Amino acid sequence: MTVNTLPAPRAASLRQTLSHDRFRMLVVIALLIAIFSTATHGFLSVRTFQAIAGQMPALTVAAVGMTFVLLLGQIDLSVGSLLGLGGALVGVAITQWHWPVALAAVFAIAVTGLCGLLSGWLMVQWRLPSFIVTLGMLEAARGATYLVTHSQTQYIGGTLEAFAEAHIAGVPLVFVLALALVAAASLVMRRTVFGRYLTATGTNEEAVRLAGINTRQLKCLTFMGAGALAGLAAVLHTSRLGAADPNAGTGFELQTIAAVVIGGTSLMGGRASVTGTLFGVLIISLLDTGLAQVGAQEPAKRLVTGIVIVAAVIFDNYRHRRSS
Amino acid sequence: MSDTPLLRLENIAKAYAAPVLKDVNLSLRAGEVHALLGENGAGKSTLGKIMCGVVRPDAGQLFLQGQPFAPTSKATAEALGLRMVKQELSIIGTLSVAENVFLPSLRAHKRWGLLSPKALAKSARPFLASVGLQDVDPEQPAGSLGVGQQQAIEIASALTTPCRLLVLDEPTASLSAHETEKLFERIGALRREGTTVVYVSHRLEEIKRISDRLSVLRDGQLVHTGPAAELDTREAIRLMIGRPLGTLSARVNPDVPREAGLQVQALTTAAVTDVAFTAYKGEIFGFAGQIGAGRTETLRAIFGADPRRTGKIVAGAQKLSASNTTQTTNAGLVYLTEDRKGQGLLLSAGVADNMTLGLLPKPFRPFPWSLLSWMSWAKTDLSACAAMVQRLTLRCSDLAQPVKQLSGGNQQKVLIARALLAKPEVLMFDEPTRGIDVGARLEIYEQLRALAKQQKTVIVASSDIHELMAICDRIAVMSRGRLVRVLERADFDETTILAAALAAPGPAAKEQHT
Repeated sequence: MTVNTLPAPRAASLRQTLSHDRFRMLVVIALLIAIFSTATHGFLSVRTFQAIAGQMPALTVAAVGMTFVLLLGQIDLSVGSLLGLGGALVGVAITQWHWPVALAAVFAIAVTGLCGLLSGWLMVQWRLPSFIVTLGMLEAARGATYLVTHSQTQYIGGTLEAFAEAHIAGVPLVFVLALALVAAASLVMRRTVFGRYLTATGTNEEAVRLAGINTRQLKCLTFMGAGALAGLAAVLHTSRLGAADPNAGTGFELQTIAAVVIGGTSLMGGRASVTGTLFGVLIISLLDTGLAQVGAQEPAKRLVTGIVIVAAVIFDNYRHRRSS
Repeated sequence: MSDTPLLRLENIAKAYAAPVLKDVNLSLRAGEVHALLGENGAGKSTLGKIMCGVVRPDAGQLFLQGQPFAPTSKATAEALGLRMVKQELSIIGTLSVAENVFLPSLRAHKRWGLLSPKALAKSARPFLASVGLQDVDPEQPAGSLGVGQQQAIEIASALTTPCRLLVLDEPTASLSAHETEKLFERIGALRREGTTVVYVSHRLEEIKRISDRLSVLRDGQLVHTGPAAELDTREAIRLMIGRPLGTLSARVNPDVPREAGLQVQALTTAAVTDVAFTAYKGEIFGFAGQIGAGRTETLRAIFGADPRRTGKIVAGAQKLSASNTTQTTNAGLVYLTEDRKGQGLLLSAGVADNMTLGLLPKPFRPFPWSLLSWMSWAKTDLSACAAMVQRLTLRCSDLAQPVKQLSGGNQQKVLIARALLAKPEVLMFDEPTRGIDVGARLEIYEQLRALAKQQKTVIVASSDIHELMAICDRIAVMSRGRLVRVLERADFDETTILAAALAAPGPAAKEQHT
């Protein structure tokens, strides 16, 4: 049959390029590890990797949500404030309302999810740019956080920390959860109707709409998901510290966007990778921990991180321009 | 005038992923209109781009009036008076018409260091008039004009400074009959002034009318160059496609009992007023009219892509209530856009991904319940895509090839495949053959006929009256947002259609069938 002359290398070629991208990132990660372990003695230790594994989950979870938002060609600036709000709700629900931990966590995730849904709805209903709507949400959610906590840090203590300290075969439970989320999100993006339409919408929204797809609902769902994941990140963050700081997550949205972009996701939409995001988070966490261990202070750390972000995007642009 | 050709191309070759041009030799005389003819992907556009320095050849040489000439950029070629008006519009919609006309040389129009909109508009008027846009306000945003008028602005822009060679790539693809006439007049005037015009087109009638000589490209090779008048149509087509051409078959049996496929009553939107018609199953229903008469807007409103103020739309037995493309597609409607790149294709995605865009389930229920369909597995039916590639004779290296690498005609076939794969009952095609060569055009007509034969309702909007007269069973003529007349096949006549399209609309046309 002539049909056989048209093989379907789509999946294969996609997988090839992906492994190619991931390979390059692994090289970067290996380089970072090599640099830091020659610069300090104690870097290659279980303690370092537990520190990284403890720090990564919150950022990973929020960055997964952000990956979907960027895939649409949109942006969500509110995740930092939603992390603050989610943490505050968990803290207040446990310490003042005496709710069980699980219920408090679900409540916080539901509220931040609704905040995301509200952003998405405002965008599609009034045709507003996501930058503006989520900037508004950034302010409003932070304000709500101060109101809920009366601007006081909520000390939660034991009940929640148990969650953060649980281990499976020596690996923190929250780290395993974050990895599972990455795997699930990657499947959703590549293999479900939602993920395929999301990719298509990020490429050409009008074409998708004319193909009969409800892009409004698609956008709302995406922002709701990003909000809910910010809430989950808040639960992880709060459980690690055992306290809910009303200022938690300030600037977290930019860190999240940086991780996603380093992971090879385009800010223009239509091209994203959840596993890439995981590597982006890993690079940011490695930098953070490594620079701290070589004795770099906060100003130097931020300087280096800034350079890495821009360099990653330049490299990514260069590679994609060449391939197309 | 000397015998030295204005531009001579020797052994030009160019390859992207595959060879596009192979060993092309061509001389352009000063002051001639030279047509480039060929199928989609034959290399016409690439050859035009090489002439104007937009693309550099891999091998071969160019000679400008006998001197070796190797333009390093579009700007160097333009400075020498070699220009191209591309098939894809590069109008900036937010700038004014006048600013677009003078876009490459806005700096030259400063007064006291600032741009004066009035002075700019005044300078733009003669150039606009020369392309038939004398009624257009030069100060209005270019984006508020239709595609045809925007293209005329680009031609006007190319003519603002002395021009020795003007390459027009498919210039009439989106022009109405009136605008085409205006363009031909301008081409005639240019030739009298000594400008060489290279005219890339699929439309043989046009080429024979306006060109002195023509060259035929097939698969990247120049297979014929000669006087335009001496080549008859059949021979030209044979040269283009490399085989003789079959004729169009007779239309579908007209005497089958009619069953309404799509009923539209009192449809009013921001752009159209009180449009009413019934299209029957098994017929091809055409929409004629000038650019901007409301053909596209009518189809988009029926499809739910644009909001409508009033109107009742019934597809088969189902009433379509809201402006919602999900509801209309689930009811069996498809709409193929006239703006293939802007609103149709995912340019960076592959052939299969583009074809199957509408195939996945389309969640239509409200939020929590819709999650079930959103989160279902997406399956790509690659064998169905491969079958479509065969059926439409689509040329692509494989199903993963990004559609931006395909020629315009093959891109259109991808969109047609998408429409067919959705297995619709009502198909609305907006300019289905825009920018498509003769061979592919006939293939598309055959597909439309086959669909009508399967008792589908096929609606075609086109600015090509001959096309509509050849394939339609009935033609609705629109003028200034109203449907002014519906013609039966027996009454088809170019003059009648044109007259109706140009007439000031009276009271809305009555439905001719109940």
